[in-house]
Amino acid sequence: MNFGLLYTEGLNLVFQTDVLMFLFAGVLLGISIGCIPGLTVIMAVAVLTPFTYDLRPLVAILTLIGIYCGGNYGGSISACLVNVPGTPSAIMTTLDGYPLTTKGKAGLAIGTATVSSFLGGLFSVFVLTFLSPVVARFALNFISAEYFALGVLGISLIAYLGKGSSTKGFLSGLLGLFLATIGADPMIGYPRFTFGSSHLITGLEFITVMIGLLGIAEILIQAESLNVLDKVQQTLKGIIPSFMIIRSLAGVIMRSSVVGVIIGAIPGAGGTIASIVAYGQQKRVSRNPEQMGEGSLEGVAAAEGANNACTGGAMLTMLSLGIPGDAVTGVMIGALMIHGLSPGPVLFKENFELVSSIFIGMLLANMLVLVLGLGGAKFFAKMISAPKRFLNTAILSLAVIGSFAVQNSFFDVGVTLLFGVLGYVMVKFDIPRAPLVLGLILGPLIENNLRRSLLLVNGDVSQFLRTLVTRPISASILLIIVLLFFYPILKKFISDKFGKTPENV
Amino acid sequence: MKNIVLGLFFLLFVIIFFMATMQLPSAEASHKDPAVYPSLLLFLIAVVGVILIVQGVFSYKRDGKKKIFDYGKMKLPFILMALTLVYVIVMQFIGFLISTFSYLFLVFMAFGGKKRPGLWFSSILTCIEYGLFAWILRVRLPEPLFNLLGSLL
Amino acid sequence: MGKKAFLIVFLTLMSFGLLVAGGAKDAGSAEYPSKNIDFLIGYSAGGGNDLITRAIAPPMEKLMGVSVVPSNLPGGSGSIAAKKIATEDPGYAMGLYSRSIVLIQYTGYGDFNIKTLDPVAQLVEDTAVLLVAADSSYQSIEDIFTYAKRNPGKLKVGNGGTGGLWHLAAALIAKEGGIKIEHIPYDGGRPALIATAAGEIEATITNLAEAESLVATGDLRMLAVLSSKRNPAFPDVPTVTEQGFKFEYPVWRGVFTAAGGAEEDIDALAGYIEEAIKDPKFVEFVENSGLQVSFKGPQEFGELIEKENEIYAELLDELGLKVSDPN
Repeated sequence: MNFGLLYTEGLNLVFQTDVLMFLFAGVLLGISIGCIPGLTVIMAVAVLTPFTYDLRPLVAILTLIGIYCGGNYGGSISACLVNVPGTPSAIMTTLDGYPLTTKGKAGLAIGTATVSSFLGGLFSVFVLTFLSPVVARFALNFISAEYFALGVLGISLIAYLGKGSSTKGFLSGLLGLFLATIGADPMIGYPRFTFGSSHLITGLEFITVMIGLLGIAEILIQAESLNVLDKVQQTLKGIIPSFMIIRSLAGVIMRSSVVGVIIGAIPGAGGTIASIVAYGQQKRVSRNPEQMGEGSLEGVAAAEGANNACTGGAMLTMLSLGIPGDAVTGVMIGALMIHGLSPGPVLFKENFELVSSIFIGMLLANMLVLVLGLGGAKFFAKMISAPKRFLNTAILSLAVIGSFAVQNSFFDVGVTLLFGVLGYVMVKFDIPRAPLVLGLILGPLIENNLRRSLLLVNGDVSQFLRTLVTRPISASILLIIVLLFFYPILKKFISDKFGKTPENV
Repeated sequence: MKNIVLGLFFLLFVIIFFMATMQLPSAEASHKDPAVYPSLLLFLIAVVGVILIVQGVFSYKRDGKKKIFDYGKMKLPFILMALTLVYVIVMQFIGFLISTFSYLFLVFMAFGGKKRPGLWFSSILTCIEYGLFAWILRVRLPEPLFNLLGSLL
Repeated sequence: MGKKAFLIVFLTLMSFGLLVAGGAKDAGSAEYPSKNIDFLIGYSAGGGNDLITRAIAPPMEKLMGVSVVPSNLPGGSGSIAAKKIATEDPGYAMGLYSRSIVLIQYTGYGDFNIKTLDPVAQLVEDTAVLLVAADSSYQSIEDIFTYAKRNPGKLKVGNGGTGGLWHLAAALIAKEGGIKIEHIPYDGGRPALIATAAGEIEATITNLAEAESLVATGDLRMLAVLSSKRNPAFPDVPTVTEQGFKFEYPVWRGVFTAAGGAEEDIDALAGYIEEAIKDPKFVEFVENSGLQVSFKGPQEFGELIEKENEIYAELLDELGLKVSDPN
């Protein structure tokens, strides 16, 4: 592929009024929808896809890309402001973003999230450019055992996440994993723990759980000590992270972006898993791990860098192989095909201009995210400074309606309320909630792939383990799990041996 | 103390759900059996439950009895949950608009707001929410079961 | 002063709300159609049914002279919308469904009964294809069957989920071909395709539209189309009939409305649909999506549904997958 031409061929195609307008609209819309919990990027992309039929293919695709990039970023806004991620991929952002808001630093949180998202997205576009064929082929080689390993990697990181008692963190994670088993058994289809209700056949909808567990519970906790005039005054200074801050976060963002692109490229694994792995990784290698989870910018940067880098990874798999890297790119493939275009090497050969425009469009989309995000951060910070009696009331009602809107189900609202109470109780008992959410998300990945792998070797556990250890991809993942476990110990060992502590250097 | 209660609760939890797993059809091969994986998780939860009880007992010996809940503080959260529950139920009968308006107003008051701003706030927010969900997002919000205007016409 | 102003605003809002929410529901009408039509989509935006519904609604609107309004009511694998349609006026609320709406009655959603709906017309058909990895040694269905007969239970065929469309397709084939295969469920059609390309399983069945992109990139090969006619987009792929087998697996999608409607109205609606599917924009859309227009009127479609309801209830029971029954 002629790289020189890649970013130039499509220039004249992209820089046309209607294209730019729609791209802008797409990003704006994506951010808006992404920041409302209960509305996912998938919904946004899907709702607007029919409207894009009447547009030229390029315009349609770029609009969708705008929404995609915007949406992935948008989730971090509500994650920071109200502790409920607007999109599942922003779950890890709540861990540090929300504490920052409670300390009056909402603007900084959003600003950091924006910059990290931008850089992560940018990085992924470059990877997309140069490494398409390599990464794509790698993505296609993932077998069930390897997805299982990926899930285990995610779960193993949960153990390091909880602040406070790791026993309770472990309990929370186990609970999440268990709750994930509710619903039709993946292998034989028999409903588990549904108690006869047809609402639970597809299991607990984790958006509804999150809204309750993280959002409503938070409001209930705050209600315990509410003062009528309560509000959290947000500093409106320092919203744009200073260059110094960005420089100190460069390593974090770099590492997380790599994780993001790789995981994004894997079909079926998206921003959520990417941000979990990136966050966990950062916590292990960080010099201030105790601060993560309390309002550390590292945490925000890791989570957001990864989940936006995912977009590039997923687009990569989509464009070069025609396989969706995640649900959103799946919808995009449909959109492409409606316009008569088939993703894959054919597209690169016959429609190079279009491909080039897509690359350029992605760069622009990420830049728009930066601009809009930073521009909006001040506004958001101000909004969250409103007195609690207005804010929390609004949030409470939005939580109820949002939960209903997901599947038009009052049952779901009931679930949300139940988890609201559960979340409240968990906080009272000092049980961290994040592991539960993560367990809920990673549960199917782990169970389904484990059982499927065993099914494929007719239950021969030793054969399964052998496969796991000998295949390069799964072996690497296992290696990473081990390394992450030992890293802090290694670090200490090395510093003791060589007599210098990293902090004092 | 907290830990002891917690541990006991989860042991109970495990027992209940384990009984549920016994009702699942069993399969010859363990990877095909729907109960194996959940049971494994339940077992682990039980183990953690026991650990918690042990931890609780040790801290009890060390620090003596500690109160679990400060029930006084829980008044407002309780009221909020009750209001929300009623809201959700009532919405299915008298429709979105009226119930949302009332709910917002009552919650605002519960948070200590005053009547006048409360009425304005509730009506504006209800409109915004309706506009957002019903029009822009095309979500079908609950309608009143009885049709006041229709029966008048 | 403030109080008065507020009261006025409040009352206006409430009346407006009641007006909008109440909606004017006409009594029974003379000529069909006499009011707007609700075209409910039982799935999330962006999926197959959603796209097709939104593509057919405009031509229908033009022909029928009333608004045909698509809206999404996802949940319960399509059953929530289906149940709602069943409670509305026949002919004025309808939905597009595929075979899955028949299947879910037995795979857990026993609170929905297909008999509460009247089949109006079939619109399109998708083609099910059998795929193997591009470098697989199987060159024809014959090869697969030979292998399967010699090694019962060893052939690994992937599907998009236990009890779903493709699982049943494979089960039907196995049943009629007299072979025993191992069904490997995945979380959706695409993961199964990827697994086939990665060599984890030996074959999979899914619809043409989904498989197209991987076939185009050369990772998968289509062994056969599960119908009696070759697919115009892929004329080189033989049909199962040509290779001596009898099982077709038409993947139909059709429109349903509440049961109990007047026969003339249903026939009229079917007539409009028959005309609407000829609309050039719709045809273009269908072809770009890898589907084929294939019309069946209420009589024919109704008979098909009745037959399928029986066949699949039985098949699901045989496979041990029947966990609920609406009857």
